[in-house]
Amino acid sequence: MALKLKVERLTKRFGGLTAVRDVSFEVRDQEILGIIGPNGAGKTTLFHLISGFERPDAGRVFLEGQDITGKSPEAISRLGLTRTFQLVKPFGKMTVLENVCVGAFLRRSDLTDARAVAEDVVELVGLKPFADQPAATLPIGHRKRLELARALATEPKILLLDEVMGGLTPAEIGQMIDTIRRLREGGLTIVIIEHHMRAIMSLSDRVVVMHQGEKIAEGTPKEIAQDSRVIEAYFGGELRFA
Amino acid sequence: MLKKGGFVLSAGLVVLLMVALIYQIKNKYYLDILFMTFFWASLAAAWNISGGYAGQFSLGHAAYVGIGAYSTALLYINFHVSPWIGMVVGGLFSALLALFIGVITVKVRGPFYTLITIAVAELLYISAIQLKELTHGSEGVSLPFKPGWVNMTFRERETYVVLALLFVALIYFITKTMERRRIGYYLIAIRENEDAARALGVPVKEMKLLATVLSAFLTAVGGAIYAMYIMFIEPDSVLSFAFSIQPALMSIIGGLGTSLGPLIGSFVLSPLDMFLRESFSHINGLNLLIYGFLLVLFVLFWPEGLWPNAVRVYRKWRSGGVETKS
Repeated sequence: MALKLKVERLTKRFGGLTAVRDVSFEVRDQEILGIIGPNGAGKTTLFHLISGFERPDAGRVFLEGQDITGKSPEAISRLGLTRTFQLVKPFGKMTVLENVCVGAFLRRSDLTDARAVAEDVVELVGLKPFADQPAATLPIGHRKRLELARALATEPKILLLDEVMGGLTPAEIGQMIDTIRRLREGGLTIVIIEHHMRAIMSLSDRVVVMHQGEKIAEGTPKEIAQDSRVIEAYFGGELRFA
Repeated sequence: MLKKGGFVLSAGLVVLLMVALIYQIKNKYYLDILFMTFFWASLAAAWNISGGYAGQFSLGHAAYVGIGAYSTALLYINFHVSPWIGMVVGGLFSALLALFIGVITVKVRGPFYTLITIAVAELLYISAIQLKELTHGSEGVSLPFKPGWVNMTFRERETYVVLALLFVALIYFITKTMERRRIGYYLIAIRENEDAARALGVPVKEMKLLATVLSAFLTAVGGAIYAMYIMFIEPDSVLSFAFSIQPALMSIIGGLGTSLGPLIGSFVLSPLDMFLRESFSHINGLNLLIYGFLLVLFVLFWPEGLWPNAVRVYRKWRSGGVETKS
C-alpha cells in the first residue's frame, strides 16, 4: 500500500518543556489514523508541526515521499495536506458559502468554479440551509462542520482533523462519523485527533496513543484497547468500550 | 444581486448623471466642496484596499500622496513631463515604497505595522522640508497655469471635478471587481483570520503586498490630481498627517472593507468638515471641536460603519415585510 504521510522522529521544545518528543508514524493511502491522548499530550502541537505552523526542532515530515519539513502552511496546503483547527477559526463576516469558497479558490481560479465546489461541499457537510448566513452567527456544532467544509474545499489528499467532534451533540457526532467514512471511501486519507472514544475507535484503522509528548502505543483499536501501558497512562486503569 | 453587466451599466449611468449635474453648478465654492469630496473619497477608497480589505492599518498614506504630488509637479516644472505621465511615475515610486515597507514589516502585525507607516510618512515630510535642492523645501513648488489637456490644467473648475469623479469611479470599479475574484476573497479571509487563511493555502504575504502596492499606487495618483488642482504644493499641504488620518477615518465611518463605505464616509465627512470650517471660522478651532464630537457620535451609534448599517436595516425591513405578508 502506498505511503501518504511519514512522520520521522519529530521533536518540539518550548523552553524547558518538550511538547513532542521523538514521534514517528506512517499513514497509508486511504487510511484513517486516529491520534488519542490526554490533554497536553502534544497532539495539537504534532498537527502544527506537520502542517507547517510550527517548525520542529528535530525530525522530518514527508508527504507522498516529498520532504515538507519547514515549509509554510500555505505551501503544504497547496501540496495537498490541509488541517482544521480545534479552536474553530471562521471568517466571521463572510457567509458560510464564502468561507468555503476561500478554500475552493486554492485549486479553482474562477469564482463560478469555486462556488460550484463550495456548494457541493456545503451540501455534503449538511450546512446548505445556512449557506448565506454570516459564519459568526453559527452555533458551535455548525462551526465545526464549517471548519471541515473549508478544508475539504481545498481538495486535499490528506486531511488533518483536530477534534471536529468537540461540543457536538450525539446525533451530530453520528453524522460527522458518517461524513468522515464517506470521505475516506471517496479516496481521502485522514488523520484525526479526537477525545470522543467511541467515535475514534469505530472510525480508525489504526490508533496512535500519545502521552506527555511521546508516542506510547500504536495499533488497531482493538490492540490499543487491550494495551496495558495505554490503559495505565491514558485511562488511569479503567477502560470500558461499549 | 445585480448581474455584472447590469452593475457596470448602472454605475456608468450614475457617473453620467453626476457629470451632467456638475455642469449645472456655477457656484465655485460648491464646486470646490465637490472636488474635495471626490478627492477624499478616492483617497479613502484607495486606503480601504489595504487598510479595510487586507487589514493592513496604515496611518502613513500621506507619504504616497506626497510622492504622487511631488513627482508630478517636479517632473512637470523641471523637465516639462506631462502630469499624466508624472502621476504614473509617482504611482510607481509609491508602489516601490509600499513594497519596501511591506517587505520589512512581513513579520509585524497590528499596532507595530501602523507605527512603522507613521514613521515613514514623517520621514518623508522631514525630507521634503530638508532636501531644498530637490523639493524647494518649505517655499513649495508653484505650478504654471498653462491650460490644456496635456498639462492637466483647465480653466473651468468643473473639469477638475469630473476628473476626480472619474478617478473615484475607477477605484470603485477596481474594488468591486476584486470582490468577485479570488484576490478579494483572500484579502477578506486574511483580515478575518490569518492562520485559518494560511491553512487553506492563501499566500498571505503576497496578498498583503499586492493590496498595499495597489493602494499606494492609487493614492499617489490621487495626490497628483490634487497637486494639479491646487497648483501649489509644499510639505505641509501634501505631506500633512491629515492625508493619513482622514482616509482611514472616512473608511471606518463609512464601513471598513466594503466597496461603498469609504465613498459614503467621504460624502458625509468632507462636506461636513468644509461646512463647519466655513460656519465657525470666527472662533478658532471650534469647527474641529464639533467635527470631533460628531465623529465620536458616528462611531458610538454606527460602530460597523454607515454603509453596513444601512444594508442591515434595509434587510431587516425587507424580511420584516415578507413576514407580514405570509
